[in-house]
Amino acid sequence: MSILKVKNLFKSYGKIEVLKNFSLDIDSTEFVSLLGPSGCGKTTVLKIISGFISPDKGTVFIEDIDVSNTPPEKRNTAMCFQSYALFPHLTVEDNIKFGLYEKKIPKNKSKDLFEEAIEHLSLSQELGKYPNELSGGQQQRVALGRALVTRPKIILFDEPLSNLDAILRGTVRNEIKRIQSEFKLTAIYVTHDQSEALSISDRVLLMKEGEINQIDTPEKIYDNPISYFSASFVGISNIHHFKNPKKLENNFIEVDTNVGKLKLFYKNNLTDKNIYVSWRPEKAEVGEQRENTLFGRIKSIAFQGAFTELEVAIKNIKIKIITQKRGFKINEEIKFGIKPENLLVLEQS
Amino acid sequence: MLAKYLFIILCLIPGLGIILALIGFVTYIVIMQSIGLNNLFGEDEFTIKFWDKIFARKSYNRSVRYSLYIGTFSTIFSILIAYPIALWLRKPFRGSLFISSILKAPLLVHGLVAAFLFLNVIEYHGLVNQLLQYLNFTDQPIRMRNDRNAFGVLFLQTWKNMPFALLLLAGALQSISDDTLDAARDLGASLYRRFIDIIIPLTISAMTAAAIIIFIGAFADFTFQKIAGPRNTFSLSQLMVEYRGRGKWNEAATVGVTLIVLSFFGAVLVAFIINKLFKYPGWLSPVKMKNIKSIITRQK
Repeated sequence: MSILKVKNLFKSYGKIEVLKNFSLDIDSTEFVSLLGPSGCGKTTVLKIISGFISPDKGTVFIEDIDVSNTPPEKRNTAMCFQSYALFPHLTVEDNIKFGLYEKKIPKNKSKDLFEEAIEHLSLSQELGKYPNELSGGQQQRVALGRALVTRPKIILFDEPLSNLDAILRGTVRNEIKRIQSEFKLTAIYVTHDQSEALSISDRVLLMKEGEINQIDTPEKIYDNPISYFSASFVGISNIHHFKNPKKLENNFIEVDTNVGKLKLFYKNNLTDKNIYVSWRPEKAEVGEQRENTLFGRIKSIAFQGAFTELEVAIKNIKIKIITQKRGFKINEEIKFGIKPENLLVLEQS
Repeated sequence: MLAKYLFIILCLIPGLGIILALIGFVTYIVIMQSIGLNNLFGEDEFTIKFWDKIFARKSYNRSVRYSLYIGTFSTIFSILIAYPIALWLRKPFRGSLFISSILKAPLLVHGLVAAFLFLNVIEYHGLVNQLLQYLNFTDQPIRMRNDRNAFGVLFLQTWKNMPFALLLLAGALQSISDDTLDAARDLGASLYRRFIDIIIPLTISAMTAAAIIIFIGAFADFTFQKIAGPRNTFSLSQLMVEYRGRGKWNEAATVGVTLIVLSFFGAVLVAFIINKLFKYPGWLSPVKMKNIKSIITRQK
């Protein structure tokens, strides 16, 4: 059941259009990430949902109630800020209890809610401490506890891990996911970090210049990017401009690219927008291959433990290959192939 | 370790040392003279007769009450007016810098000049009276100078001190991040609750500093009182100068000690009250409205 409906949002700051006809439906208990580069409008969407920003046009429905003109303090949403925004003059306990008091939740109920929150977040040892006495991870947990203790309908995360170091980021990310599923929360998570979005979400909404570029499950976003932008922003892709597409039998087509002729499987009709073909570096099969066989010279080798990253030059065009094979040498000529079904046709945008 | 502390003390002596020495000498002399020692004229003899005399005088007690009245209300009015203005100017907007500069201008005007300017406004033939007559509110000019309730002095003190409170409060308010206020709002806090539960506790240091400094300055006011204050009551400073003018140095010293002691305890009390009332959000404050109400009801 859809808990949040955002319809046809438009928002401009002066002459800059931040959101252009943005619409979104989110189901109850779903975890959706808004992924995109800085300035693409993802935080604006979050702030419109929470009520801190009013859209120029468009409506926001929470549980089928139009909350477009409802102030943030009266919306049943809770936000986890990038800066945590903990109240420095209050202890951990009072920070978490803040919402319970402000929303005038009865004492008996608020006691249960508070105890449940601190138990799930393992904060019982920190209750008497002030925010400046906590580590980044602990502060994030307090911010999370403060947001979820009042049981909001939707919890909104605004790049909550960006102030943490790489190791802590992974731990807190898993914790957010665990808490979200334990409390059965509906979550919207803003990030520009693709690995965060892919690992934590039920669905990823990829944004570009105020518009939705692609919305799908993390697997589909990665395996089937529809545009040049999604293929290049999510993961690593080798992308080639193509021309002279020729229809072959059984939905195969052959195209001319800067690395040579490539045969690919494509069921749909090509349009004027379909001008790129892409493939993921791990789809290259180094060694024997009958179709789409390419020859290149290794320019760099980066051994990563479980796999090796190769940078290979074909006619001065550099491409990336990820393989589990080892024993390569710089300037060695290698042969590799890509199965036609692993080659994807992309739209220009 | 000793050498390190000695070095720090030596470094501080040229600045802090001189200040402490000057304060110390003056305090010492005034206390000693109030008990008959270190006299400028005549023999030294330890006595508390000057204190006995001064406590017995109605004019002294009236001056204490008057100075406390001016100190307290000037502080309250200055802070009450400065808070909303500081909140309004918290986020820059077109013209905010200009408005802020204009509001802070009284800091650059000397108290004596301000008092004379004020007199021109409220004098018998001043601007206010002319306006009132023009609007037919009165046939005759009204006497507003040297009013019994010292509203003129309170006005001048507030006019002079509000910019100082504004300066401190604006800095403190600007240091509160938007996220902090948004977080409170997101958690259900209304505008009033955000002010009481977040803004005031986070600006309490600035408020306390402003209140203490304004209180001490207004409590020891001489200039505004001399020019615009009531004629039948002296402020403590005025009383002190009056005694000195009559050559009564020991009585003047007792008034001086009163000023020092009451300024100190007044400042401590101001800080204590502000911290008790505003340090915590409403729901955590040890002083609750219902407690105050019950105390008032009991007293009745």
